[in-house]
Order: sequence, then structure tokens, then C-alpha cells
Amino acid sequence: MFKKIKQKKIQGFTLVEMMIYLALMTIIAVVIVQSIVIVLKSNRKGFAESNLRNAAYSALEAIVRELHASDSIIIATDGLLQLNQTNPIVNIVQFSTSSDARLNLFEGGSTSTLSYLGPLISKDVIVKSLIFFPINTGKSQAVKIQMNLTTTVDGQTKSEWFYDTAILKGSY
Amino acid sequence: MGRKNLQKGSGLVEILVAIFIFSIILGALINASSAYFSGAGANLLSTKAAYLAEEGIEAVKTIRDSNWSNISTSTLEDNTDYYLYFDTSSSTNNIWKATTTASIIDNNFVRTFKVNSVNRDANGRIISSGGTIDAYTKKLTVSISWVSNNSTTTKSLSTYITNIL
Repeated sequence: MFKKIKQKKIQGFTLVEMMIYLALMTIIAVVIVQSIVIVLKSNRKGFAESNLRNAAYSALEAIVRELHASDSIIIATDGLLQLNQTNPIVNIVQFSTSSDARLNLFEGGSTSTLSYLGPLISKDVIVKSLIFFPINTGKSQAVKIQMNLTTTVDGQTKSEWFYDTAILKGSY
Repeated sequence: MGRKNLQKGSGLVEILVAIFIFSIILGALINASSAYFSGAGANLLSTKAAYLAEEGIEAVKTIRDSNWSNISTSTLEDNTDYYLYFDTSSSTNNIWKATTTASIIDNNFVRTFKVNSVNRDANGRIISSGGTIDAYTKKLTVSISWVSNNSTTTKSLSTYITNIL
């Protein structure tokens, strides 16, 4: 019985049926490939954005926390910030960008004895620009931070500017 | 015999139904993933907005530090929107200033701030109405609005600032 059915079915395929079937298969294949491409693209975009968000968060939180704990600015310029702290101990904190566009943290008892504590953001993200502007109100000091972060995920590059300002609470 | 008929009939209609169901599922998956990732993008902008708002509060505090009269009622009208302007024109010193000139940060973010008088009762507690106006305390509100996915979002931060110097 099985053989009989099979034979009949093969006989039943016509050229028109085959052509319609192939046309439909082609359309489905195109739709599937396109949607996979869309999903992969937005996946890359999502990864890039979450990289930037994490990097901005870890860099700015660290810098603002140290600024709030500082007494005075030693230097605040393009890619370099040095801060004096006395409470609870005499300490100098330095944030600086390296030639390979990483943001590094240094600390030490004096500007000549700073030791490298490590990078502040992951290596997926580079610091395209980081400018510290010193502010002096006459009664207090503050620093404005202007930072551009860039990340590349599978050839898709995304960058974003972040801004913040923090007062040195020890400067009053 | 019934089985024979069924086998014979399987063809275009079955395939069409299968394609229909499959494309509905695929469409739903794509919609869900694109909603998820555009949500992640909106998140990046709101992170940026949070830092801009924090900067707004600190900037007004530096204006306060220069001189309390900079933000007292004689200079800044109560409940009026002002913009912040970072003045780097002086070679020796940068300073935040309040201005009525509108500015847009990175072609998207609009940051305004306003100050409001603060009333205190006889015990010195802050009250929303009545009592007497405390000339050395102001309520500061910084608002950030930005456009994301064709809709405008506004977030505000509020704090009290006092003449501490």
C-alpha cells in the first residue's frame, strides 16, 4: 500500500506546482536572511550602547567621588587631572589618558611618587577626548568634565559625549 | 483510503498555512528584539541626561559660591527658566553663568533650571505656603528634556541651596 501511495504522489507533482513551491521557498529564505541581519545589527548596537553606558558610569563616578573628597586642584587640563586630598590622609589622585586612549588612575603621597592603580574603563571602550576645566569661584573650586567615549563592536562604531561638573568639597 | 486522499491533498494550502504561521512568529521575534535594543539605546541617553542634571545642580552651586546675590530674587526671577552657560572666555578662569539665551546640548538635550523662594514657619521648618520667605534659602530645580524614539522625555532634579558662605 505504501509503495502505491508514494508512486501516486510523485506522479502528482506538476511543473507549475514545483515553480510556485520554489518561488515561495525563495521568498521565505530572503525574509529569514534579512531578519537575521536586522537582529545581528541591533544586537551589535545594543552591545555598543551598553559598553558606553558602563564605561561612562565607572569613569564619571570615580572622578566625581575623588573630586568631592579633594581640597584643591593641582592641574586640570586636556587629559590630565591632579587633585590634592588631605582628609583622611595626605594623598594625590591623578586621572590621565594614555597614548592608547585609556583612562588611568594614579595615587601617591606626592606628584613624583604616584603609583599606577589601573585603568578605569574596560578595553572595549576608548577615550577619544577627555577635558578637565578648572573652575574657581573665589570661595570654592570645581572641575567640569567633558568626555567622549567610543566603542567598536564587530565593525559598528558608536560614540557619545558625557558631561559632568563636581565641586571640591574640601575647597570651601 | 482516507490516508491516501490526505497525502494527495498536501500541497500549496499546507505550505501557505505553514508560511503564514512561521512569518507571524518571525515578525513577533523581530519586533521583540528591536524593542529591546531600542530600549537599550534610550537607556544610554537617560544615563547622559542624569549626568547633565547632576552637572546642572553643581553648576548652580558654583554660581551660588561666587556670590549669593547671583541667584537671589534680585538677579534671578522666581519660577523662571534659565539656561546654563559655561564661560571659558577668561584666560585665567572658567565659570558657570546663568543666561536667558536658550541652548541645546549635542543637538538634543535642553537643560533649564529655576529657583523658587522658600517659606519657613516660626520653628524654621520649610513649608509649602504661609510663614515667611527665607531670603537665604532657595529651591533649585534642574530639568533636562531630550528626544528619544520620536518622543520627548523630561527628567527633573530638585534640591535646596542655602547661602553657606
